[in-house]
Amino acid sequence: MQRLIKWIIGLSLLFGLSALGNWIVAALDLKVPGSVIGMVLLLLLLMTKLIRVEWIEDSAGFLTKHLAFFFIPIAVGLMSYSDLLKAEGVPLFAALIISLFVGLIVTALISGRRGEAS
Amino acid sequence: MTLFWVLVTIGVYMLSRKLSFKWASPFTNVVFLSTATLIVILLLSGQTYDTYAPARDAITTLLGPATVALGLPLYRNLPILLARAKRALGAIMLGTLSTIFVAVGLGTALKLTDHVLLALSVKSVTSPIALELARQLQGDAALAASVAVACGILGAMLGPMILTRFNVTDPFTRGLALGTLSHGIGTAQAATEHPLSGATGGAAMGLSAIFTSFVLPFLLPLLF
Repeated sequence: MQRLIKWIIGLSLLFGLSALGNWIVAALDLKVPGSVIGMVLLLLLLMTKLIRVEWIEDSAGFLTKHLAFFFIPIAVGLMSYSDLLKAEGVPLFAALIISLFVGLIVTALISGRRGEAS
Repeated sequence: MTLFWVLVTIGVYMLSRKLSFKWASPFTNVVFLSTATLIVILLLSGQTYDTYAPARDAITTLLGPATVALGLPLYRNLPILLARAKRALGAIMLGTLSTIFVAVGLGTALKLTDHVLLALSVKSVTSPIALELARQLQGDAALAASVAVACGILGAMLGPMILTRFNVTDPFTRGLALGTLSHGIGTAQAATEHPLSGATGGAAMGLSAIFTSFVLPFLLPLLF
């Protein structure tokens, strides 16, 4: 029973913060997704202890564990671009893969491959 | 019908997850495997993406709260993040800039059309922002969102392998790199490796999105 209440509280908080983030983005005309603002708000509320970790750890833990799931329906949208992929797919994927490679290495070299602090 | 496709998506996801644990390989990446399977199912049953759209809308209502939830690992790992904040910020910014330059430069050399080039310039940010940015820059918004998803999947598939090949063992850096280059899909992959990677990935995807939307209007005249 207690777990169920925690889930309800946790999900309500996460939905509420996401909506609040969207509202802030719209009101201030920001070019950041509302959910990223909501993520920062959650961080601030946890830091100030206004939200306790115990309230959200079950629901937030479950959602982050299955984060990949929520992107699948957007990715299925790629099926609408079969014509474009036939025409420009090979150079497009070449550009994507090589730029991914360069970006990963640049980021990793600056941040530290082995991590001095950890 | 909406419920039917939501259940199919959950089923395909659960199976793909099982397979990805059993055989770890770029091709058993959960998002790749699930997406490919669903596209095949839709095509074989003679459906278009429109049939699937209501299920997509239902599932993606949880994408917002799920992204907000990344605030928890961020909070738990805050001391480590702050201790390395300076280099991490530099890494995110230069990583973002380098990937945009290489993608658009190479795309130009390979004679891609202008609307594909514009989609490439926003590829590293998460789909909803890619959509918004492309719209503001007068590009094809839906195409930009799709290229961003493809970039995310490629990063989740190949990123861990590339990082391991270059001896990048630090979970902090692995998450940071995956979040910077492959936004939410990369972060989801990073979170399965290590909680710290999930936290740095979440921070990196947010910061690189903010950075990209800030610099791109100034960069585009140089790139095109």
